[in-house]
Amino acid sequence: MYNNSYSVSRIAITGLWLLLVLLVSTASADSYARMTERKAMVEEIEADVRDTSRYIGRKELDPRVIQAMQDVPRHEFVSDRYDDDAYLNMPLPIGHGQTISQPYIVALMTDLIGAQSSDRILEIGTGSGYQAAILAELAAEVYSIEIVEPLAVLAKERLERLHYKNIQVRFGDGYHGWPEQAPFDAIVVTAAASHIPPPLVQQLKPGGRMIIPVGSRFMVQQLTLLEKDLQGNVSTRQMLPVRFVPLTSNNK
Amino acid sequence: MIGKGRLPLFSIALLSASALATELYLVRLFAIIQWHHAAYMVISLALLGYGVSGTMLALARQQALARFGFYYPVLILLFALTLPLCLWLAQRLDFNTELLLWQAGAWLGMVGVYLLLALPFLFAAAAIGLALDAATTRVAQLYAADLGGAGLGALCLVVLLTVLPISDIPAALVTLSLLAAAIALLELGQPIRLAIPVIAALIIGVWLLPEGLNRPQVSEFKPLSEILRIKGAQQIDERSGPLGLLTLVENKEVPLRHAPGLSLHTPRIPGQQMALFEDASGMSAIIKIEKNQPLEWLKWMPSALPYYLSRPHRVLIVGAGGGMEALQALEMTDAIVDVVEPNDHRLELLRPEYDDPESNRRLHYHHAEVREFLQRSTIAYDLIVFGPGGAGGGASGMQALDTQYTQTIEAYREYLDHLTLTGRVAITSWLQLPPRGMLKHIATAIEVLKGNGSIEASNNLMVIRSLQTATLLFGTGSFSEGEINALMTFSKSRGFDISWYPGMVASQSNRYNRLPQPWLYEGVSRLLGEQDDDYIDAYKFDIRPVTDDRPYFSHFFRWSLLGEILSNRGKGGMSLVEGGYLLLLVTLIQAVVAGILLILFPLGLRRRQTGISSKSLVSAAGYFLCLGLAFLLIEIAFIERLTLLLGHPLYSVAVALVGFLVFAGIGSAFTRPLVSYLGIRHLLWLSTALIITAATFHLIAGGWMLQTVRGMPEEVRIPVVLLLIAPLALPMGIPFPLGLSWLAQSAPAFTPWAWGLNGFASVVSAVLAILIALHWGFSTVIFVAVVLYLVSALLLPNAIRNHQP
Repeated sequence: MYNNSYSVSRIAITGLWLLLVLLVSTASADSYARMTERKAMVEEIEADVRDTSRYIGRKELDPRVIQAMQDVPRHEFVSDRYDDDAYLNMPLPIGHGQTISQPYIVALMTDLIGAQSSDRILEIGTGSGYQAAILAELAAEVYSIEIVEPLAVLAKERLERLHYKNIQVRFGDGYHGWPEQAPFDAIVVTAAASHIPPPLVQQLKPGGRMIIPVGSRFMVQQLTLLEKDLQGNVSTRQMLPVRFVPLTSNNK
Repeated sequence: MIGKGRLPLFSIALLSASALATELYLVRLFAIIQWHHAAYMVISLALLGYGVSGTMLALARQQALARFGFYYPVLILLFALTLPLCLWLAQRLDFNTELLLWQAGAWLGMVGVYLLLALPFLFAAAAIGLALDAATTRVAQLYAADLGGAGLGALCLVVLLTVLPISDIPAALVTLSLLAAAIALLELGQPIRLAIPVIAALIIGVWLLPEGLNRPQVSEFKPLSEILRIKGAQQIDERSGPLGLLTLVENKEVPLRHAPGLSLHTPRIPGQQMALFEDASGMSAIIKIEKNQPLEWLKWMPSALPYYLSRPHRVLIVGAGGGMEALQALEMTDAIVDVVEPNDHRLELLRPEYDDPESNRRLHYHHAEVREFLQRSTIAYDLIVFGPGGAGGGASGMQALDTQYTQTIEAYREYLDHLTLTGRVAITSWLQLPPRGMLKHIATAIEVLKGNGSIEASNNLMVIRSLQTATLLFGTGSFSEGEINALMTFSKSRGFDISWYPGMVASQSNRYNRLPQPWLYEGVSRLLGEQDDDYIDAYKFDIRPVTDDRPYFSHFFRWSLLGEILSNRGKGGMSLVEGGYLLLLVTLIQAVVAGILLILFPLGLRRRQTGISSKSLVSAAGYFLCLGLAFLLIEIAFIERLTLLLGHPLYSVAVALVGFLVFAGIGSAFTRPLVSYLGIRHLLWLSTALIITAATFHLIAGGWMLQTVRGMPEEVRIPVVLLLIAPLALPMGIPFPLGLSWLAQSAPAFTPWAWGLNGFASVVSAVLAILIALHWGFSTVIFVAVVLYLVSALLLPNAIRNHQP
């Protein structure tokens, strides 16, 4: 009787251990698989950067940006429906008619503002929170505004769950920026607008940079980089996300 | 069989009316809930129901004919019942044409929509095809009723769209179809004691359905859906009409601020605006005029340039948009401002916003299309203004299939003719990179200016560029030194780049908003030179100026881009490169593939059962295919050409369809007596000769006729157009029933196949017509149709000769 119950509990304990080992190994296999997918995505981004170097003025991205793209789990920012596609180099719907940007665009925008570890960055258009997470890996503080309330709530919860302590998300109209926290070293606008909101230009520090995509979500055509020099003079530069239009044909 | 019984003429006319009105309703519906090109795709496949109905009838011919009195009304009833159900379901499927271009899974939703919408048409077409088969030698009369009914259906939809909100249209269409079923029962002498009350109850029921059930389900990716998701957004007005669904949205919490191209240096930001959407996209902003909301920012828009160069006394604004262009003219000048706008609902929504004594004195709204307005006007303008809404060449490439008669070479000539000596045309449009639309505007302006021998084109152009828009100014007078100085000051203070002014050098371009290449400056310099054609030919996009015969301004696609598109497939790149055009090609391919699988393949398999000898099968099939192709090619070419004459595509659809279908119906009704008098071959040759003569006359004298009719008063124009259509349409109604009446005598089992082949050809033809017109113009479309009629006239005698019963 004793022996029997002893062997039963041994079997039970062994079983539990096996289950635990199975769960842990499944989880690590899963995270390993995700890491591999992220690595492949990053390699694709790097290839894109090389292909488009003529237009974006660089052959490779800042290694810190690459590392951030490698570290942030994009699959946490998409719905279950698109989980399998999370690391494809393409935009994906996130509900409410919004999309999570193409990873190449996220990496490029992050690189173009040249974020430093002491920087305070403003983001307009939180969306899923993915871009904010990438920025948070590189900068000291990230302030992000989202105009669609449910998205703002969701992104805030998600970023808290993923322990991003240096990101603040607020629901509101990004047109006026975040004057209480201004000025910013850099501003990232992820939603296309009909013009660059003047309040945002005012909230940019001298020497700061702002990046804005021009065009619709599904067909982002051009990124615009706004630079404010130390005297406060503003100039803009439009470049192509040549992922779409490599302009390889003759004489163009 | 109907035998010598009563032909179901009224029910077939009503059913055809309802089916055609449904097709046109679907075009409107899909333009609202999706995009315009989605309508082409959906319609072409829904129409495949017509083709497949032939296959279905052929397979169950004996049984269906034996119980014609039962199956005919039941098929009509099935059309009536599946129509609202399929419409409801199709709108709730996950289907988005934007996703089609980069996500393979999105095609599943598309296939679902196709199948759902093809179903009601399958039943309607089966009912018509069955009746044509059953009518045997009296088929021409029935076909006449079918054509005539369809023509009236087109008219009916325009009336319905005018008097009913869009959400009530399905109920009206179902009512028509149910009435057709009831009349069918009466005509065929079927027992009606139970059926009529049931049909009456269904009609009442369909009108009592909750209103929300039939509201168009706008895609979540359309701009209207996007703006309504923002907290505080409220839909405050909606106007539904044949020219579009207008929706007015206000948000007091997060006000809209739409100012394309606004200078970064503006001292004031735009105040509150309301958003006005046309078909859930095409947004324009209505500026709210309030005392604490200064309009200073309007002077910091690139479109303010012409007001800095001179003081116009009379300004014409083309397209009311949201009223910004008119407001800018009122704010910055003392001029009288005329606004021409074809959609009266838009004017109704705008008027109250600018209802003050000063505006009332200087602002005049005209409900018209601009070229039609200018044709009647004797006023010489100092400035003719096109805003981004009216200029065309939008950023997405999704307007590639829209005809834009306001941006053709002929149109630009008319604008110049209506300017004062120092007058200017000002066109502000969105700027894509690399530029397309603006370069096409510039190329058109330069071609027109060069065409006027006395003008040095380079002295008559100015182009500036902001972050997102570009503004082109041109006129018959050259720019003065004072104007050039004003341009310099204006551009410098606002940070706008100058892309052209008389005497400009390359180093002056691309200063403030730097582009990878100064495309616009390079473009203007090359277009002004001798090798302008070489430049246009070598440019990445199609920027060749368009004409009234080929008015697809927003079509920029070039085949040389295909390699890039394919290498970027699935990565979002395709949409940049003229998605609309590619979707048209896809539509054509899928229609051909589906047609081969569902119609030609089964026909090949069952050729022995067709009752027609193998020798003449190919000729007979070719005959009905050619007729289906040719009829619709001509119809579509005329629909598009008449747009210029009648002011709006929907009116031209209605007039062309009524004209062609009703007159062809009359032609068809005369087929039987004419056959007995002339015989099949002679009548075929006579009708073909008449078609070719009339079509050739239209090809040669079409331009002259258009000009002449445009000068006539509005009320005379439609009857004159119908009279011009008649000589062509009357003989076009003859060949199809002629072929059917030969089949009725010689190979009746082939009749459903003929019906199916004709339906299939119509599907292909609808897409083919647009494709040919995009590349070679409407004249070529008509020419191809003439060739097809000629071929068909050779094929039928061949089929008759080779047929051995």
